[in-house]
Amino acid sequence: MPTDARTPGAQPGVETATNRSLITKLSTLTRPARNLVFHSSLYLAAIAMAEVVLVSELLSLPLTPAPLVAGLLTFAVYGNDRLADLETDAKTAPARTAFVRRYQDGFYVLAALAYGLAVALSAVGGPLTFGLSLLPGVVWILYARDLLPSLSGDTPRLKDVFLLNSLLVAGAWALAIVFLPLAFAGAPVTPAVGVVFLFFVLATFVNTEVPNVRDLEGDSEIGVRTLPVVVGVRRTRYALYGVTGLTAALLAGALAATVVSPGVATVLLATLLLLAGVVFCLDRVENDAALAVAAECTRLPAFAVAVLPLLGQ
Amino acid sequence: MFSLTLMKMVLVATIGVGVAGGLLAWRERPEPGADPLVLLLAGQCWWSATLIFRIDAATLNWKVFWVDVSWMGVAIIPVAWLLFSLEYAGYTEYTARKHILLYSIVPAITVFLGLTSHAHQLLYTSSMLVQENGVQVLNRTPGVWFWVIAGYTYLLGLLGILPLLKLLTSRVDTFRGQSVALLLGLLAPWVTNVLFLMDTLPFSGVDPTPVAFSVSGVAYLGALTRFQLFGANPTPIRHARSSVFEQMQQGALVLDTHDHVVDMNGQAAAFLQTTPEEALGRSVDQISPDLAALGTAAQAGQTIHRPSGTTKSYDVSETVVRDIHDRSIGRVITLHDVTDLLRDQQRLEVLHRVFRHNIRTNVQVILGNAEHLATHNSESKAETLQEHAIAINDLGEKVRSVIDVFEQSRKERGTLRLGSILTECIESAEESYPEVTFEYTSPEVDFAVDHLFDVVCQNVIRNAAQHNTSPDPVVSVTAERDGEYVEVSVRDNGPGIDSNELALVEHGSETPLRHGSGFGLALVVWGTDIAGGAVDIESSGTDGTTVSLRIPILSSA
Repeated sequence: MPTDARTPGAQPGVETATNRSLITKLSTLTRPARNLVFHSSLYLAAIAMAEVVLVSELLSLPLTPAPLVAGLLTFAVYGNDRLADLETDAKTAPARTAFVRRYQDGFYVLAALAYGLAVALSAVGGPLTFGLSLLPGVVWILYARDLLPSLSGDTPRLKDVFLLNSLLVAGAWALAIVFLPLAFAGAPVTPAVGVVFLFFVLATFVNTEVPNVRDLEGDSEIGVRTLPVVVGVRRTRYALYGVTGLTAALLAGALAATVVSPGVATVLLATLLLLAGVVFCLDRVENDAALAVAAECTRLPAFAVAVLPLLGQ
Repeated sequence: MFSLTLMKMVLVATIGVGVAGGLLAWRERPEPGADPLVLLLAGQCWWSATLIFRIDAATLNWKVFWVDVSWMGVAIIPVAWLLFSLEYAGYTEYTARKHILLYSIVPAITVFLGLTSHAHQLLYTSSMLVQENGVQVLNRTPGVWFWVIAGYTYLLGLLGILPLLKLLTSRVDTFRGQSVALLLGLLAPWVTNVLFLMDTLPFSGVDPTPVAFSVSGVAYLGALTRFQLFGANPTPIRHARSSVFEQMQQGALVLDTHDHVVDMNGQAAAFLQTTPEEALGRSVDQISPDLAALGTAAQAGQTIHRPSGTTKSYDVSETVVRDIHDRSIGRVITLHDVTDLLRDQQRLEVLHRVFRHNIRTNVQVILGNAEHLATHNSESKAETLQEHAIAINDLGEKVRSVIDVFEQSRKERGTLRLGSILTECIESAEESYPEVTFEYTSPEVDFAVDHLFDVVCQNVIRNAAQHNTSPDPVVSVTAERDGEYVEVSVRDNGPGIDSNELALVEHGSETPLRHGSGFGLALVVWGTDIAGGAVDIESSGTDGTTVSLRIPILSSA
């Protein structure tokens, strides 16, 4: 067997391995951190925080504990959801399922503590924020669990009900994102708030349906009725174009009626363009998982544009 | 003074710990105690949250409102605590829906009175804002119902403690740790509330009980995580003991020092042909004098109890129950059904005897005759030799039948129509013994009986014909229904059965001095016994024999 003269005993293959590119090494080194961020829903919590800050800025609200509460709630609810669906997710997201299964006990404790902290912080904001922080938990229980065993015989989980599943997630998400900063600040509900809320409901609906294209096969097998399962991928794409267009029309109408400022409308329209780009890529790119993350990140550029300049002030 | 800001911070922590603990408990459903613990922590969180809102409220009306709605959480806590404690410690018989409704009556009334407090003065007689140390606080004077719910809360709190106190002395470290943590969780708010009601705490008129719930939350969390509250819990202990006692194969009676029956399981009641309702509280002497007398006999090594009127046999053992001071406080008597064991022992003895005695006799005759045949050409000796060889062969066939009958006793057996059995047996016997006259009176209605009676009837009828030496041999067979049984009588006019043969019927076994000659009668007695019937034989010795078989009817055919 040939060996390297400079390092006796070493084999050519090993030599090649030691010359791996820096990017590969970095990728290997950061894999645990990336797994933690993406598989544990930490990145979703970060996006939720960014969106609350964005909403606060768009509606000219003061900075409150709302972003922190929203982040904690998101981490807790999505964490619990992933724990609850370990069996069904094994087909659609095997890597994530393996990660969550490996750390499930610690993960559940962390999620519980996060939810506890979120509710506790929201109590400081008053009854409205307290109620809002309880809402995602209640919705999640309705959404994912058989709350009343006596009714669960023929009653499907809300998670399995066509369209209602995505609408429920979108509604709960938008409620927390828009109304938490509002309630913390004690600000009144204006027409602009309504527009921003509807924007988030519709945009989040699109976000929710994007990963359903990736999960098409698994969802079909386990009987979960999503848009791609029911109408197919092509029609799903058209439907999501429709919802995105409707959202854009809503913003345009609000701008015309001077309900929202041109700045707000521009920022939100830009996010819709990105969202439409993601919808366009549906079933046209190989990495479906990255596409789902991209859909969830479509408001981050708007956050960067609207919020980061404030840091310099 | 404990500042309201600091109090709010502690309340926030209480909510955080409470919600997290509630979610951890939620995950453990349906473990016993998980649901009530979720409810308990939810109640605590609601109370804490409404206290924060009350502190922050600016007007009297809002402060009053938050106190009134806080009862939705406050009133739920004692019920949830009691249910949790009962479920956790295994007293689930007190946690049925009807019990929950009963425990919830007072809390439900309280919540209703809280939500309608503006319309009456049952919870509070007056409400006003007062200045205390520069802070505006709500001052409410308790009404009648306030003391009712307060007393009720303390009562349920106390009742919930009792099952946990028992576990404080558990031999299992985990259960002791859990109990201590849970008691600490209860006592912290309890003591705080008592001190507040006694007006000994500097809290500006604000009930700090929810603050103490932070201690409870930490304690419950500790019980959940450190002591695996739902990973290992003592719920089955109580049920297991009663379950083991009730479902054990042996009968067990617990006697006090005066020999009164203080407990017994279903098996013991069945063995002694009584019921627990009849036996409990009565002296064992009244229930079963034979068993009571066995107390002294047992010391002499005689531990077999045979209740009169049954064919059952029980091995009796006794265990003295002692208290922690090593004083005898009673006895546990266990009865182990050894009927089958003893029967098998008797059967083995008979098998052994027949093989040892009958075969040896036959073989000796064969050897003697064979020796004679070797030197003398005797046709009669050859016939004798042949007869004894046939006898050995028949014996072998009988042994095979006996073994078959024994094997049937361990199986689920089928049924046959009695009418068919008797007809076939008589036809078969008529063929073998044409000189015998057979008379047969069949039952009016045919019955299904255990198929073992086929062998039994066959042996009875053939024996009656085979050993009938009367010049005009007659065998008459009758069958009549008698309640749940059918009586089959086989009468012959032969010489009767030797008294030694009857020993097997009279005593259920043979004695060394009195034993029969073959397996025919043994097959009848054992087969009937295994099939749940009874045999009675009347033999005059000269005027023939009547064999009566009492056969259980399994169904009308």
